[in-house]
Amino acid sequence: MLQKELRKLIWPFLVPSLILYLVIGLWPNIEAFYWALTDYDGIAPRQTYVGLRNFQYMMNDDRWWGAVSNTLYFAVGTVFTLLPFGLLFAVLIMSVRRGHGFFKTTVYFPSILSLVIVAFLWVFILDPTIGLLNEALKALGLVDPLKRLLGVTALNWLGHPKLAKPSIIVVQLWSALGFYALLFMAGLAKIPAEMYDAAKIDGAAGWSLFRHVTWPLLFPTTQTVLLLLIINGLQTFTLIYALGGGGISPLTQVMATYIYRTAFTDRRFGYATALAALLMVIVMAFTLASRELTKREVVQY
Amino acid sequence: MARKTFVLMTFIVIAALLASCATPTPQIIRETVVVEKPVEKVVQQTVVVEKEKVVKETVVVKETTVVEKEKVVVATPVPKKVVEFAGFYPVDAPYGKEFRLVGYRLEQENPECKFVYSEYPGAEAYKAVTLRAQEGDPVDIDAGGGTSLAPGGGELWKSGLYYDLAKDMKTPAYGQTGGTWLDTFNAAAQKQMIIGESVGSIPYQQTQIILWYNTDHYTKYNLKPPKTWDELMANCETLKKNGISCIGGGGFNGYIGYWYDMILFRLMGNDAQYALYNRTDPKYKWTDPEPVKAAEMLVEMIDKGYTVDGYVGGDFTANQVAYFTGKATHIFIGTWLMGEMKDSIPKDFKQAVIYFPTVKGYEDKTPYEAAFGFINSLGLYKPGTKAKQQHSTECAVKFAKLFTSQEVQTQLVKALDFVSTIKGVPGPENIPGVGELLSGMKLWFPAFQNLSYTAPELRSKSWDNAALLAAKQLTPKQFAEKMQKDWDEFFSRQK
Repeated sequence: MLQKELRKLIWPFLVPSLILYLVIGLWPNIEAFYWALTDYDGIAPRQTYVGLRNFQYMMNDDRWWGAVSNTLYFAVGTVFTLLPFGLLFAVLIMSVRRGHGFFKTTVYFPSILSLVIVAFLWVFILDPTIGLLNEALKALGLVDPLKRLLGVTALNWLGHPKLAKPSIIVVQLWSALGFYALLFMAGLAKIPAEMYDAAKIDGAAGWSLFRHVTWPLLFPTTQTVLLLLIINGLQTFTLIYALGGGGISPLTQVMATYIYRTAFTDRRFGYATALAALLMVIVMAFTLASRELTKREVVQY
Repeated sequence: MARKTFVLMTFIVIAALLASCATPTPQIIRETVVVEKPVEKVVQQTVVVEKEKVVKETVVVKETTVVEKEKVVVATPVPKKVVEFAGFYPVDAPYGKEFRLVGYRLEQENPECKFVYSEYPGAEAYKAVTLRAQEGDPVDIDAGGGTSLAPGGGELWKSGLYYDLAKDMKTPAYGQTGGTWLDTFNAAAQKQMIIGESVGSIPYQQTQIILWYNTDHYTKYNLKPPKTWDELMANCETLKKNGISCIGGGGFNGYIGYWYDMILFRLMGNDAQYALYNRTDPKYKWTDPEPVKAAEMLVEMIDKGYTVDGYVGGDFTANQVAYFTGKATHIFIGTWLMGEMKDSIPKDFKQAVIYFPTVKGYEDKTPYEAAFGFINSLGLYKPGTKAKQQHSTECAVKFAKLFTSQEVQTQLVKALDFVSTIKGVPGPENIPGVGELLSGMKLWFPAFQNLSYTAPELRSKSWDNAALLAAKQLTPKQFAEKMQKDWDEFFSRQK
């Protein structure tokens, strides 16, 4: 009886949040598909229905496809750096007997910083004229050898077409390594010690221990990390925006920054919404593909 | 039961809210009124009557006591004439505060006027302000970042929403008995505000993009301030030989674009550049010799190693630091530089400002004393048909006169470090020489020929292209073709 009365009370509490979610969350998402078919500029009360013109324009927009290519570069780049380094640091930290907490904190520390702060720190590290990195390289006499090695006339880390994207991946690695290492550490902690004992009795050691015990049992964690890296990689915005030095570099423009610029600077909300709709489709496709490609039975010993 | 109670309570709350909205609230004035209130007081009196006979009797005496009583008077407030000011700056930002102070002074001096500051921040806010006007409820004064109504803003003027200040400009300025208000503005400002027989806007602040240089470097290497491009390049060669980067600034935020715009201005002249940018005359094309030459000159400057390493892609703050720490001799940037870097400039740093150099063989295209930038103007809207309050153009003009008076402008420059458009107002103290330099200016034009406001998309694309040109991702010819393609695409969409 009390349960029944209490159940009635659910609605007054639930309805306001539900309305809020519908109005602020769901409705704009549905409405966005309509805006994608208009020439809405974000201010004018009236907009014209343009059908699929925004999508046709998108097909010929070389800046957009440049941004798509850059985004894929960053997504692949972060997967191939953060995944192995995250795992490596997790394994190293877990194998340390003393100072475990210290190393964990040290590696995780950059992850607690806001990405904007991270970007500003690195802007002043990487600046070619007054940056710490070039000053250090100069002091070590490494500027000219590095220029020759990289085939550039200046060590302009964020401004040279050859160096800008890899430099951003390095910053991304520094900033996010702790978070992904922590995820791997949680996965490693779940592997029972008996597994290692049994494998050692069977003669496994070092690499074979990692390959036959750690890696298979860590696979669900790896799958999650991969998924997060792909989604975050495709939606990357803050770091690219803030490292642009007050503007978004055309050398490192990604999908999210291009959508932002199209909407808020260029005042083409209709077109930007069409781009955002495609971004959503791309993220969903990659997420599903990565799940399909990494699908396998959970290993149990 | 609970449901019923909930519905009932909700109904009561809604009803109460509606009732409070619907019932006109009388204005209650509390005042002290003196009233006479009779008080009965018993007084014992002894009266002697006839021989030795004492009679006691009671006499009632009326006394008057003053008491305070509240009297409710329902009064209709006298409506004041509103001057609504659409401010580009947040209300509590230094600019917002200073502007409001002028508003309070207007109220003091003109009790019939009421000043209201409405925030319209952001570069695109002018669109929102325009929309209000189109819908019949305009603000009185628009001070949005780019409200200069001429020349690109001429389109705004054609809308017929703006008040023509021509008559008012012929009357004396604030605090003056003779002369005209128009005469108090400098030549560059006057050129900006006059549209045919009309006066469309009231410029009050100029932000100029000018060439700044380190005078210590100039003295040390015996250099002369350049007036031509060749002289600048010769200075750069000397500086390069001495291990100093000649040109600072740059980045991905438009500063490379500013260099390109100014070189092109020197090669084409103002009218032709305006026509090219705004496509008012189809005979001008990006693939013409001048736009290509301008791109070649920019690339040559970079190729010769005259720019700082961070010229392409460097952070703009870092680039400014490079200039103030003597790592670069010149920087082509706005007069906001000093305000922005106020706390980071070494005390012994010495600098001066000059106009961007002209190009040999093209000197007749533009006067040397020319600069571009942003001019902040007040624009007065005509009263709207659907205005919710009683607005007054008369009060708005009074505000504008007070605001552009030499006295108020001097105060504002002191507080906000800007360059005023009013004659006789000293330049900001922290930019040596800028006041003198700009007082002799013969031609002023809006940054990006006003396209920043009318076609922000083209500005973004143009900056992208300039950055890619500087980063060697486009050749000068490819750059010109890309610009032409972008312009063609944009204007074909506008039809």
